[in-house]
Amino acid sequence: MYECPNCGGNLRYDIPSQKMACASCNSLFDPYGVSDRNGVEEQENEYEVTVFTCPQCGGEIYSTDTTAAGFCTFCGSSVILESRLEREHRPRYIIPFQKTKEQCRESYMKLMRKAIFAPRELKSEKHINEFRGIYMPYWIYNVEQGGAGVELKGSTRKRRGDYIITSHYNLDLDLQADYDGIAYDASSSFSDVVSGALAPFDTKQMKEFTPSYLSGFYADTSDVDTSLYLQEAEDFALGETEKFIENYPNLRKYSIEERGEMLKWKLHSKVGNADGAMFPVWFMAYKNKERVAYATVNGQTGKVVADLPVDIPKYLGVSAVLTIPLFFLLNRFLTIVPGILLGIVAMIAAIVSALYFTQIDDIAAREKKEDDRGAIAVKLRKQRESHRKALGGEDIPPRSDAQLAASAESEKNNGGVKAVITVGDSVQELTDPRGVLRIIQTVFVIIMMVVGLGFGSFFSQYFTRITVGTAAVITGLFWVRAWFRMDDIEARKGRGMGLSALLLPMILSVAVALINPVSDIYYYSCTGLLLITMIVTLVDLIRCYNLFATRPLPQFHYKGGDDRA
Amino acid sequence: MTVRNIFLCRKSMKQSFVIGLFVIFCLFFAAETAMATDAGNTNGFVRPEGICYTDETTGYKVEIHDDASLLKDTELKALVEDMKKLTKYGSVGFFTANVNDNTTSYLAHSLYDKYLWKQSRARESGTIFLIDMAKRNIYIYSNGELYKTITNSYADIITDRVYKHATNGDYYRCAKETYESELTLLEGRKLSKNMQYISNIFLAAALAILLNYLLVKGFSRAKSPSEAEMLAAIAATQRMNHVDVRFERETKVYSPQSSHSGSSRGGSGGGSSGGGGGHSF
Repeated sequence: MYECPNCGGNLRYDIPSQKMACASCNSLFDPYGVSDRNGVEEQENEYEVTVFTCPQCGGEIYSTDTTAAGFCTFCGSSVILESRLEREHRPRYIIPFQKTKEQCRESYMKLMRKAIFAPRELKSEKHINEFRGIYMPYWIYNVEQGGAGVELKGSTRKRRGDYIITSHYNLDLDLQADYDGIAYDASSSFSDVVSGALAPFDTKQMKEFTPSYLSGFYADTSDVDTSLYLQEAEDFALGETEKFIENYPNLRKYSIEERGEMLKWKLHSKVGNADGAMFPVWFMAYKNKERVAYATVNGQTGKVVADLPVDIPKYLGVSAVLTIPLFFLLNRFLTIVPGILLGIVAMIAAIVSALYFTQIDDIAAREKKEDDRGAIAVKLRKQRESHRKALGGEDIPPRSDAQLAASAESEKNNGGVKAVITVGDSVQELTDPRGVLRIIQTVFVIIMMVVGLGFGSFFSQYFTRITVGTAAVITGLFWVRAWFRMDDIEARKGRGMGLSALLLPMILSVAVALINPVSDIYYYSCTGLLLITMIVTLVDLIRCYNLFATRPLPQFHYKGGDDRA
Repeated sequence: MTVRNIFLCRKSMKQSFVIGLFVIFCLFFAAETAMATDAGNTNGFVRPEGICYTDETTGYKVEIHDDASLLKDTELKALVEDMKKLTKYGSVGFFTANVNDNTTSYLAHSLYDKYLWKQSRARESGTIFLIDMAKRNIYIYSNGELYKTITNSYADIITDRVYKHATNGDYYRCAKETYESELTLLEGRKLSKNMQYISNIFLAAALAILLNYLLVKGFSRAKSPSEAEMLAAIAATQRMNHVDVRFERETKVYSPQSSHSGSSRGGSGGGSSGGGGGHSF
């Protein structure tokens, strides 16, 4: 805690003045000119902080203040956080808060006014008051590319008669491209998706870190190593340099032949040591049963990123209203016979089934943090640590966070996570069938779409049979994939799938299309059933989306290896 | 009785027998003719076949080919009266078929071309109604000026209104209501379009829930910054001090341009270019 040199009152960082302000005598001080009242000497790489731990979820934040917080930012619980003193690694830079809590509220309300589908409780003042300023840890990368005598291969192409003439050139460049301040979040508990959307922070406005900036605010700790985003930073710089070269006036007509690693090598690409930095984020957690929704505001720019659950009655109401203009619009130009109607609605149902699976896949990825490199790396690091302990402290080859995350991504891309089973003394690896299913399904969907829409309309008398059959196959395949993926979502286990409702009407529709009865009533009945079950599926999809827009309550205790943070 | 008398008597009997047979034959023939006339001609009406009416003012005609013999003569006669009303706007045809190796729409098109289109006036405007017993379909095909009113959509709507009569075997009512509906449209009156309303309300509802879901996702998704925004937020220096471009070599790859064979528009032999719609029964 910092005390006022004039009156001994508590000094806190004041956003409007960008100074340390005394709450008692309103004096203002330079943040770099005040020191901790406890007289704790700051070491070069460390400084003393109070660490607050949530007794509910184990989430930790820290501050230079000693005042206990009233609620947990991670899980939204209203609890008295436990506190302890600790020494933390000192980051090099900080961007102090520039947007006040009032400005943050205004930005949030502006977003919520546009969010017509959001539940009312998210718009209430009660929740808005719970915004909290937290400095989030980031790694800052610097990349240098170019130099004198960079040699690249360029080419131009033109057609001359029946020949394509390619002219090859040597491009000798004296190029200098420096990128300072490429930032990636360094906390595994801060979603990469949220931090990516909150970006950019203007790193040109970074200042030297001093702990006094934390007074009145909280901070999160960095727990991923600097190697994790090194490749991404270099790739970002490479892309920008490539664009610069290709758009340079004398070089526009040439295509650069080198790409990727070769181009990096030719450009003498070099990534400097990463520095730690603290960036300001206003943070609001809204707890709803066993889920938590986050709203975050960039404390420098005021950009808002919020998880917005959807109110189902509002969704149905808007859908009903939307039906009316669509009906009049369709009446202007469209007359379709019941058989064709059944085929089209079946195809729409197939699209709904694809959307359903996509949503399930996204939620599962978020639940398992497959979309967060930091969280994957931390999880795998902890698994390796527990594995090392289980082997009696035996050394296992060290791997960086970047290598761990890359191996996880590679496994995912090669057909899902492998399961390892032990039978007697032999160890067998079981490849997850989802990878194979994905390939089969992609091929089927493409073929069926072509058959359904192409040949269906060509052989107009078979349109209904072909489109309904195609839709049924697509729905079935997405149902199987969703069924497999649903296991990865803890909150949905044992609750069935809305998509299953579509199966029976789809089978009935296939039967009707094959029998081809004369009376319209059969086609209308199947269409009506498909429509009703599509609504059921989409309502369930909205429920899934609400899961997607929220997160499971974080568990930071790591007891028993549970680290679903 | 002498032998001669007996001979004469037998001769007389033979003559009487022959005369009797002749009389019976004549009577039978007369009765047959009378019956045939009665069967085919009620009150002097001949069963319609081919061109059975031509409007003297417009030149449009009524053409009937009931090859499947679905309608009685009295029904055909009544139908002709209904069809005559349409000749103010164009030629009208009624066809039925027992055999069809192609689609109903193809047959309807062919019949129109064969019987109506080749007549000079029919080239301008015409409509036919076909009952295809082989495929169990009814079909309306229109061309020319009539096609502007009796469009494909209306052909579907009209056949959807009348298919139940065909299902019940009441082909006359089916055809009669078809021509009445066509006349309603041609006279500029409104035709109820139940099928269109029901189909479109289903389709609109299905599209609405799907589009609204996409709308929800669009509204809820946080926008990621563009590369330009990312670049503006960092201290980036991009400088080109010197550029030297040296030609090295040239390569040629044979890649023939796609040849344009030219389209073969026209010369297809002609034919009507109308359209229609139908319904199974």
